[in-house]
Amino acid sequence: MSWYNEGGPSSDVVVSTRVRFARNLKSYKFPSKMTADEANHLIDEVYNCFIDSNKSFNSDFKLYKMSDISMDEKLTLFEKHLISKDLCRQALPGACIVSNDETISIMLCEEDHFRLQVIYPGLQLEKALEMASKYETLLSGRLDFAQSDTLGYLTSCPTNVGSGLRVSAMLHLPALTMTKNITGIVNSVGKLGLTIRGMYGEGTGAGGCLYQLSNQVTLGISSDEILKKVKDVLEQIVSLEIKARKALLERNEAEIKNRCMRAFGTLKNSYAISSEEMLNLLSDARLGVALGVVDTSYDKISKLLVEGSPAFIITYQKITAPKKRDIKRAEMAKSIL
Amino acid sequence: MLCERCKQNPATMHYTQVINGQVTEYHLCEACAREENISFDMPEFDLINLFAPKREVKSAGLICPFCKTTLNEFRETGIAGCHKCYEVFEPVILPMLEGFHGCSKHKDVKKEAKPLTAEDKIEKLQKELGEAVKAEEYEKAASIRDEIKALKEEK
Repeated sequence: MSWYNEGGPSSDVVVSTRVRFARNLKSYKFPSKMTADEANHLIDEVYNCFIDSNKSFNSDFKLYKMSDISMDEKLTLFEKHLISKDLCRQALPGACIVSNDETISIMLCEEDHFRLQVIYPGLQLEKALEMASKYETLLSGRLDFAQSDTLGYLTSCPTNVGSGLRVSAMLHLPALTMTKNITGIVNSVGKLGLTIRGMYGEGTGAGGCLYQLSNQVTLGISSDEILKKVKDVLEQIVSLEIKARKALLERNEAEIKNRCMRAFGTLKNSYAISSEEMLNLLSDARLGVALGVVDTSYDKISKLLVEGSPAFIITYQKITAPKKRDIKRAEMAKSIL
Repeated sequence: MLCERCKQNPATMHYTQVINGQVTEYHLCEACAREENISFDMPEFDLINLFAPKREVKSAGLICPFCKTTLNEFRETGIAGCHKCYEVFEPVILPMLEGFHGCSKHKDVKKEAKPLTAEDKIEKLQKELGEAVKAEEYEKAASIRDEIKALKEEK
């Protein structure tokens, strides 16, 4: 099940877990130097090779060619965290192979020839790495990946060289944000070869108190070591967030609980909600679930986070006018929650 | 005014240093200023210089024969045009990797992985045997049993 339709372990803090491998083929230039014809050729070659590798893939996966879908459809894939914003906007023909359950996606001809990603709800790093490695192995047996004896896998940007592996988690850190402890965490995480940044908006003023933690170093370190490093830091951040929530409650129990319950009330009883307001209300409601004062589930909140996003409403509800979308968003909040 | 260091060339760099209120004035020629590491130029702020600021590369005219990326192009964008660029621009890329990843050599996990020992193989086969029996695939089970037997005899 996709990360936004299901809860997972440690969902009170960890919204989703993501693992991705960057790979390139030896026989093509990297995307920055490819022609449109070469990119289309690569997409066809790789897609055919992929579906030939397993009989069920033809029905289990879907190919989205960026040239065949509208910008809103592209942005919807982006809002589901299946493709990057760069893939939506780039001039070079790109594509994406997505599993029906939306847990696996393979971007083709983005910054690298391949960006193979597995995304799960909650904290499931090992399972995600295991699944991503399975597909990576499957492809590496059929395609000749660019690699060197001393540098490992070669990527467009030298920052991904080596394992080409990025392990990340989307975290909901309202208490660390409210108590401003997040700044210290951002600074100290950097010293460990990791990075943490706002999911929505740069810097520490992250909308919805959602942050992404990931490794930066990919060279001279094995996949398992990368996973362990991210996991260790992740667990510490989770325990700090929980401590900060307790401290907040001890000091301002009434205020915090009131804020969470009011957010939930607003979500369920509004005529129109803007996407920015929704982000903040969902953050408070999610905290309310963790504190036991709001009666809904994490998966419903994640679902609303994705399905209430602007492009999603345009694509699936066919509503383009922003004011009408706000009304639709409020209706969706009411029905989902 | 002559450079106060070499006392030969005219002093063209004049600068005042203030440390704890103590003012010292320096008048140097360009060559001496460079040797003293004094510069008034802002360094170019691009990715490569940021990560690999100290090494001079004498290969500015380099061009990748496979994708035609030039060294300057690579310096500006920080993006390689193909896998061959890594060989061609190695003198620039290695210090850059060192700066970013803290090393410039990869630990190849696949090569380091130990080959399966006989015990590992037997353990794996025994699991498969159990599954085959459960699934009532007796032919498969028999062939797995023979494999295990052969491995045990080898030992």
